[in-house]
Amino acid sequence: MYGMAMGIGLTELRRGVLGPCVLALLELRPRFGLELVRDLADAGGLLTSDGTVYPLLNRLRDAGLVTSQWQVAEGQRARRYYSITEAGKQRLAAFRDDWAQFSAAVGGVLDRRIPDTADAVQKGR
Amino acid sequence: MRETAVGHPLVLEYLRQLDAALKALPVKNSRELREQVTAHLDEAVSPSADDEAVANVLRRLGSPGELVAEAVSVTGKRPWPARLGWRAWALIAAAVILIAAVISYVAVIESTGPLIAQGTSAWWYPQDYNRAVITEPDRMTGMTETTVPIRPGQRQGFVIELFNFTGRTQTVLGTTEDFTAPGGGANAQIGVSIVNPYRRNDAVWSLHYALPASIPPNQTRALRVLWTSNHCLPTGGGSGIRQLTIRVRVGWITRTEVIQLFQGFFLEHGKGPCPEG
Repeated sequence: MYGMAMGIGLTELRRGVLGPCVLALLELRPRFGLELVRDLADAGGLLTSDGTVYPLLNRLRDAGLVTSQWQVAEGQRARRYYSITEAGKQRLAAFRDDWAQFSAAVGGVLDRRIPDTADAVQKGR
Repeated sequence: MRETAVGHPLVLEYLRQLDAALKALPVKNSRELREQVTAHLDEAVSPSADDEAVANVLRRLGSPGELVAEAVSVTGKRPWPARLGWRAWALIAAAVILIAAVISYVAVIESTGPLIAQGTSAWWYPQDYNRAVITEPDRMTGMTETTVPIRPGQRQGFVIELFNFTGRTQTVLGTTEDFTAPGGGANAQIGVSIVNPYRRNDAVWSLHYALPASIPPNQTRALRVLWTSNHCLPTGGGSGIRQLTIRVRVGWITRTEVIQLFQGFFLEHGKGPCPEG
């Protein structure tokens, strides 16, 4: 039961950070779908399944944070390339600020340790 | 070797399942996701990939159900009318047409006028016919009444003519369950002549009666009501009938018609002794 709750928590966490991660990758350069999937997979632990990237890309595009267009390179198949918009860049910058504070706060709480029992007993004497 | 990975049987099966699951999404999002997944598979699976490699790519992609569930959480579901397939819509359309046809049919039948009483209106038995007293038209109802003495324990009855002025055949099925003959008569029987009394100018008393019996459009039939009078009426008392309620089938519909008699049939106290009991 506890393990399941933790699993759901991690899924929700991934869902929350995947959008900014996609924006961050697109900020570097436009990418096509499979390229994005592979880059995110290489980062490790961000994707539960490759397919979840596509609904997310559509949501980002509908929100005006990403655009897409077909491109045909010489000798290659036609690919839909996704690019970040100005609004996407602003949203990403805001997230970076929030994330720095948020991760510091979460880290601060998680790093607290229960004092060593033997040590505590000696100090008590 | 296949030209593209999309032709691989595992991929085809995956796309088939995806198409089924995509019905939950709005059409635009559904098409978009289909195109993205197809492009992904086209890139990720080499045309020469073996089954294991293809299965790995599909596993990493996630099941169609998961993929669509993820998309639904983002875009919402397709509006329910759009989720229905053409078969469901065809069924709904057929049902609506059928219901409309039934309602129209019932409305047409219900708007068909009732049978009306006209022509002959007389007591059935000679002993009543010959002793009938006809009153002047009532000031309130404009109706005349024909009155005879009650003959306790004996058959009495009357005959009238019914005209069907409508364009549909009407079949008389009988009286309603709560029908009460004049004088509380028992064993009431109703019958309709099987031929038009005017066909050969036959007297209504000589016709053959049956039930149920049909009255075609614009034709007349005689209707006979007989009963056994079993009540004594007090001196000065009377019991009669001014309208007749019958069950009639028109087309497939059975309905109740109230026939207004233009002459009321009444029984009054008789001279003979009442039967014992």
